[in-house]
Amino acid sequence: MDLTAADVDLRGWTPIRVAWRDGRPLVDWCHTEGVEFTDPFFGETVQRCLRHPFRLLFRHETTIEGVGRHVAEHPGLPPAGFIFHMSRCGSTLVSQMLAAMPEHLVLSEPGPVDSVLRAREMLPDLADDARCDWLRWMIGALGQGNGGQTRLFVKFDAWSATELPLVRRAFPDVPWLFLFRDPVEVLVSQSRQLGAHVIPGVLPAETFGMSPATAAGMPLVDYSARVLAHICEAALEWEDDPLATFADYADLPELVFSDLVPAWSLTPSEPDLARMADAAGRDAKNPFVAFDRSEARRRAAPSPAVEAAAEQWLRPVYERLRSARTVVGGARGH
Amino acid sequence: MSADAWAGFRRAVLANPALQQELLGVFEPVPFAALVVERAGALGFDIGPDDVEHALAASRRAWIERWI
Repeated sequence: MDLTAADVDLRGWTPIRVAWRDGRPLVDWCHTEGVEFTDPFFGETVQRCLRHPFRLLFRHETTIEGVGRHVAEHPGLPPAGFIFHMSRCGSTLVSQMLAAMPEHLVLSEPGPVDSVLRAREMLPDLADDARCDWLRWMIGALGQGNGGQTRLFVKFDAWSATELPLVRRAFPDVPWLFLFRDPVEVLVSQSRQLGAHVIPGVLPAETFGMSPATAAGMPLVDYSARVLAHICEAALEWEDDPLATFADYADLPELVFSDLVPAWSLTPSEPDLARMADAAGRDAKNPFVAFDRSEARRRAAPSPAVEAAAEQWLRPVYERLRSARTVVGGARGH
Repeated sequence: MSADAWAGFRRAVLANPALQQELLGVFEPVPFAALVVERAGALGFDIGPDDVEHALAASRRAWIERWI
């Protein structure tokens, strides 16, 4: 792929990936005009796009500065809310409820945002000023909207909570949510199907406050629990941020209607509220299936190792999150 | 097909929104390849249906291998 000339019009194109070549980031753009980003995850929409032979074959490639030039002329929708989470705790449900309002564009775990947040893995000396620019540019380029959308929401990857200082610096006025859940339930879910962040070696152990040697010698369930605990601790560092909402999975979906709607100045119409309620009744990661809330299934037989890891590594931070949480229909819990 | 022919046609497509829209209008691989061959030929690029198929396979592979 060749680098796009500075004067190419990238309207109707969306960054889908950041590749690293010769120590610099190159941004891969896919033609997405007319494509709605309504799948539960950004990556699923990209996969759908790439089934078209044109979109698979003909893609622009720019430098990261090329993203900045595009966004300078086409700034995109203003971010209206960010979602952070410990994983397996209802974040996709919340993002799908927000996406039920037609004027909302919700980007769920967009890979290019993760790439710029983790750019220091490739460029250790990259300054925070540049990282802020890259993040603003990327979110601007991703959040162009379909013409009828007016607000942008971004659900970050679970591990991105460790980058909250950068996100808050880049977007100091954007309210944000941190979602968490009973640690045994999260660990049971992770033990059924591992998320990338809880597989040792996929992300640097240092991201989660561990050395590679420590991580390598640890049982998987303990590694998972420590990763999740670190994510929760990173969010709790911002406990006193007035723009933060801490929400327990157990309070979903009611908390979205009672607290997130006013906290984020959302203005759903009656039909919007009905659509949001409908989204809340479906399995967020597979919207064709009704959501199964059965306690028995969620807590299906945690092993003694899961229970022990949850108690040792996660229970204390979970209790602190419970203290910090927003109570349904009320103020923060502390 | 030479690599230069494919690279040249790519550049031509990416600089031509009307051609992009025309190619976007065809989803099925066989008629898509036929249209690519025809438009490439008209622009002076020697590209055959097999070349399009190979380019699609390479792009799919590159996308799948992005994590490796």
